[in-house]
Amino acid sequence: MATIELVIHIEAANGEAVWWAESPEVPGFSAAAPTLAELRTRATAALAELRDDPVEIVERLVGEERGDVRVAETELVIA
Amino acid sequence: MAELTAGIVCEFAQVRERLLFVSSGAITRVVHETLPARLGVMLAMVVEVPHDERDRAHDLRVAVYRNDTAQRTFEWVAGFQVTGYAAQPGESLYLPFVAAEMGTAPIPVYGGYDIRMSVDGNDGPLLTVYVVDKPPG
Repeated sequence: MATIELVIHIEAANGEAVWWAESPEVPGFSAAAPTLAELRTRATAALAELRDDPVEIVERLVGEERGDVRVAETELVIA
Repeated sequence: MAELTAGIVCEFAQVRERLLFVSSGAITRVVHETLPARLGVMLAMVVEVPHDERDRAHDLRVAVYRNDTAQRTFEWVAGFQVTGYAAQPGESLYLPFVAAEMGTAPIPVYGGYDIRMSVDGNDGPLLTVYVVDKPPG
């Protein structure tokens, strides 16, 4: 089983938060979803299919370092 | 599964050196003489992260809804990941967060506003703040 790093981003688009991910080990790969859980499921399935083998995901969130925690934020003002 | 163990509506809060400072917490009423306005209060939270989930990214959300129409007026979404917390074996981590941006939530009418929070889709406490006019006199 290959270990693949999943680089995770969050941003706002059309009034909703969107999670998306890329992987330095798989050029051209990206996946997106409205929740992190869905993103994890989609990315894991897609990477396994691309690799033709189950993969183990190591996550790296892109964000600001705040002590021992890395944080990424987005804000949606709807009305 | 990560859990929200505390949510406090407050005048001001900040996180410094892993610790949560909360000033004037447990707010349930906000006075605005004119509308539309901004909510003008912050939300302090504590999230418990189980030891075996410390390496994963997590999805923390705060949304403000009018409780007369259930219309969502504001949402703040944050991702977080523990990077270097020196935990004891099996120790859950208790991480403080502040949604200062909640103060910008639009307030179009007087009434109740529900503040819903969740981590990884797991709902935390439901809090309600009532936005009221200045009392006469």
